[in-house]
Parts: sequence; C-alpha cells; structure tokens
Amino acid sequence: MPRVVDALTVLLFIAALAGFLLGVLALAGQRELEALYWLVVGALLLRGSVRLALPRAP
Amino acid sequence: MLWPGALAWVTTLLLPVSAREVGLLPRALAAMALGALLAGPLLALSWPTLGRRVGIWGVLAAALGAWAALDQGLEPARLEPLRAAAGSVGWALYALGWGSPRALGQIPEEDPRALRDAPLAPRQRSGRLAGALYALAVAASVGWVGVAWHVERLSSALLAQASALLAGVAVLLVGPAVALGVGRARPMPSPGTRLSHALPSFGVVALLLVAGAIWVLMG
Repeated sequence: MPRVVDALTVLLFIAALAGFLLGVLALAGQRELEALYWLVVGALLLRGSVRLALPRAP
Repeated sequence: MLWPGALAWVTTLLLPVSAREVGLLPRALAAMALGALLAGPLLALSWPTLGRRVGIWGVLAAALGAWAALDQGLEPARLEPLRAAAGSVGWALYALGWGSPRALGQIPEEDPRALRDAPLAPRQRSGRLAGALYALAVAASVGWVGVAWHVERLSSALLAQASALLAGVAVLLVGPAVALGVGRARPMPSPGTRLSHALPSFGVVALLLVAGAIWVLMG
C-alpha cells in the first residue's frame, strides 16, 4: 500500500506539472479563464502531492 | 557594484524620467535612488549595516517609488527591449555586487565554529527516481518560461511570464520535498493518514475537474 501511495504522489506531481503547462499554453492562446482554471488545478495537485509525500508539511 | 548600478539607473530610471511629460515626483525619486546608490557603498566602508540598508533597500524603495510615480511611463508597449535587457542585467549585477564572497585564501574549515569531527553520514541516499523527478521539475520550469516568451499579445504576455515564473518557483521549491519524500526509508505515517492529509486538495481538484467537464460538455 505505501508503494501505491508513492506512485500516486508521483502521478499527482506529474499531473501538476501538466496542469501548469496547460495554464501557460492557455495564456499563450489568449484564453485567460481557462488558464486560471488550469493554474489553480496545477497548484492544488502540487499541494496534494506534497501532502502525500510529507504529511506533516504545513 | 557602482558600474552595474549606474548602468541600471541610467537605463531604467534616468531615461524614463527624462521624458518631457514626466512630473517632478518621479524625477526627485530617481535622484534619491542615485543618491542612495552612491552613498550606500561609501557608508558601507565605515558602517556596513547602514551602508547595505541604504545601498540595497534605499535604492530599491526610491526606484520603486519612481516607477510607480511614472504612471504610464512603464507600459509594456513603451519599453524598449534592448534597454530593458541592459537594465535587467545591470540590476542583477548590482544585487550580486552587494554579496559578500569569502576572502581569498580563507577556507570554511578554518572558521572557529566549524565542526572538525568526521563528516556526518547521510541517513539515506536519494534514488534515481528522486533525481528524475527533480530533473523533470527543472525542465518543466524552464519550458513554461519558454512557452511564455511566445505569447504575442502584450497584456497576456506579462501575465504569462508572471504565471510561468510563479509556477516554476513553486515547483522548484516543492520538487525536492516530493522527490525525497517518495520511497523514503524512515518511518512514515500509514497510507491512510497520508491520504487523509491530502484529501482537501483532492476534493477541490475533483470538484474543479467535474465543473470543467460540465463546462466543456455544455459549451
């Protein structure tokens, strides 16, 4: 089970990177609302991955 | 530090405040920035702390005040790329100039506070996955800035640069924690506890993804 959570952490981290990329790409395409959406999703995924990797992180 | 400071001051303050329509306040603040820029290093010879405060924070405050008072003088459309690049390099070198490198011939081990015992052994070695994850984070951070440079519309370009930089800094800060936290040998809370800590973030992400899917389906 710990390995599954570790794998989920890595997946979430990669998904966060993808979310940020989609956000910047949406900004490049002048779709500001979509960009905000993906940047927020990326930030939340990043926070989720940190909380999984370091449960005591603030 | 005076030469890069002078370059930065001329390119990013003197030239913008020299325009005919600029009022007295930005000019006075730009003059104050120059005064602080020159006074800081001189003061630092006798009073290092005061000199640093004047040379770094005084210059920064006066320059920020001048730019804020410029009103429309710093609109992206009015920025000249070459001048902006020279100013950026000047400010970066000025900031580095205030650093304090160790004296020549002095090594850290000679510091009286240095621990002279055997080096501490690391509790664990970082694996290949940690290195790969951090390399991915670094590559992504650089890539986002690269993508942001291709935004053509000026108003979006500034936002894209800021977003790419913020995202890059966040990932570079968090990346090592994730990379080292995965697969660590030391005792960790149970998987259930770890999942419960991340649950609030997952909940909001799930809501956002559902809302996004509905938006796409209805649009």
